Amino acid sequence: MTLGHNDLVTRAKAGDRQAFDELVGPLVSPAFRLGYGMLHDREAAEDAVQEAAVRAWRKLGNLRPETEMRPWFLAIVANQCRDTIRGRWWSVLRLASSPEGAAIGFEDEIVRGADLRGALRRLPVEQREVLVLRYYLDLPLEEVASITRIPVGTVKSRINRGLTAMRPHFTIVEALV
Amino acid sequence: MDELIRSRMHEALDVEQPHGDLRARVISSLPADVRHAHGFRGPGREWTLGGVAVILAVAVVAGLLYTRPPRATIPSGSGLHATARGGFAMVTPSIGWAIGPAAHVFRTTDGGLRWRDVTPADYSSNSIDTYFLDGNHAWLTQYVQSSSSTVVFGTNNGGASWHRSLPISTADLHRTYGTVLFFIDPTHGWLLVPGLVGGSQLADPSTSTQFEFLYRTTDGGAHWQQVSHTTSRPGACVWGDVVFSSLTTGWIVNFCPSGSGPALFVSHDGGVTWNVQSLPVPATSLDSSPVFFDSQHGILVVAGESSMTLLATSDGGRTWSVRPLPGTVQTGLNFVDEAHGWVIGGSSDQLSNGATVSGVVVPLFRTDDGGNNWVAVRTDLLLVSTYGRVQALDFVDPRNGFAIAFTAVPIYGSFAYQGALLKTTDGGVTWAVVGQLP
Repeated sequence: MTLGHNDLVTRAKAGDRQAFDELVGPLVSPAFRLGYGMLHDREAAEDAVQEAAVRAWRKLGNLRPETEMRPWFLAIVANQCRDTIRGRWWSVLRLASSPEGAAIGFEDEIVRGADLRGALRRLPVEQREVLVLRYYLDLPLEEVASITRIPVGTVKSRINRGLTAMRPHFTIVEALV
Repeated sequence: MDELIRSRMHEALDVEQPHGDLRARVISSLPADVRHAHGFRGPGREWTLGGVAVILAVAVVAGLLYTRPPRATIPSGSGLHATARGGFAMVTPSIGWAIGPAAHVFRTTDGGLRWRDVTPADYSSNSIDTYFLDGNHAWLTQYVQSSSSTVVFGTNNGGASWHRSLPISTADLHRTYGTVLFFIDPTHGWLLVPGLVGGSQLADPSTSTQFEFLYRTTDGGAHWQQVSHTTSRPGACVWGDVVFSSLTTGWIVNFCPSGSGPALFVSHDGGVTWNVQSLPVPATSLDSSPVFFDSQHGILVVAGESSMTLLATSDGGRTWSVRPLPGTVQTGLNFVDEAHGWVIGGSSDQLSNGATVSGVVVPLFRTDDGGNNWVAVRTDLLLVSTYGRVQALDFVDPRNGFAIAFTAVPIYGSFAYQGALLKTTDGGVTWAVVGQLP
């Protein structure tokens, strides 16, 4: 944590958008990747990041200067994605741009990763979330725990359950490789 | 293997990038009228003694104004414990609760036709846990990051108004994770608060210790007293739902991924001390706590990869006996009391492949003797219909029950997902759509 960071937080709290941009801007890309990994829809992921940024902007008053920005903001993005997924109960949600795999061959599926996306989509959201954070955003277990607000042990068990469910997809690739 | 998984994840998910300059759009979309004083710290302001005094005064007044609800017995015949923690719980044929968009709390009084947002005004979804006891009493937890504490919102009038507990904070506890709520009646409840003590803000195994703090309330959630705590190597163990079958006897599942596996613990002194409960089957896949219908009768499910084993007790949990289940694969087990229950049971092919074919009825079974005998229900509920695939069952008494189905239809070149709520009034034989979830 640097003095510059603390100064940026203070300025952002005072309503300085440029300071907020310097704090959150570098996290927009990983936030989009998290959103796409969870929602599998580009527009929904973009919406989630924008909504999360507004939430973060409004929550700045609660932010302690020493708080790490990445787990703080990605936790808000993850929350936003969970809310979006929960929203399926009540309203329309764009999920996939096309019914993947319906008109393409198996080899094409492998190439495009559609099989893996489909398998990810069928996972419970809690397992999907930790797999994306761990293996797509390459975050350490402790940071995944911080973002998802669960113990590291729970992160591990969710990862294990998710990987167990998806094992056939990784096995196929191993065989091809 | 980790590298292979990473490589495959990137291959599968790198196919989409945001259109245009998302960063610029994000910054330009920030509202101008932001109120950073969302908590108790204004822009560029630090904590002040006056601010703290106001908080304490508000909390104390809220506590004084809290009306102690009348003592009630454990609700019988409701099956509440089976569904009370989920995002959806019908508690009578007409009254139900659901978690909707943005984690708001909704309530229906007409069997799911219309839903009203009853979220507390000062509630923001953050590490939400809910407990819906009956049509009037419900509780929510909220993690307050600014004070590293947990507060509990409670209502005793169906969400018309909410009481907020004093912040529940333990010295040096700098981080809390998902909380677990349980109420046995409108007055008595327990709250499990997992958290980390010591170390940095992140869950650093080398510098922090994971604790599970158990709190108890005797005034409907206004005040909480710590009962006990556990400690373990950080990340070594996960504690499941806490359940009480009386004011003194409670249950909790402990799962240690790298240890000896899951175990069921029981307490006979209100949660102060806990001991391992022996079971008649290996607890290798024990991942849920028991469900009790009164102080003596309860069930416990030991779930495998696909099939499950049903255990039942009629002596308060001292002994458990195995009950048969129909089919080789089961889902949707749902008991409303110690006698009446339902389960969807069939072959793997029937439930997985059949679930993709329209016109296949749900292989629904019913028991009226606590699971000793199961009879097929001649139901008209389809695994997949125009309303979508049946995802959950929620019976409220031996005749009235609800089912939730998803439907997916193309819209604007994408998919649209909508949830439909179906209802039966004859124990699962005939079903009709009553509305949607909020």
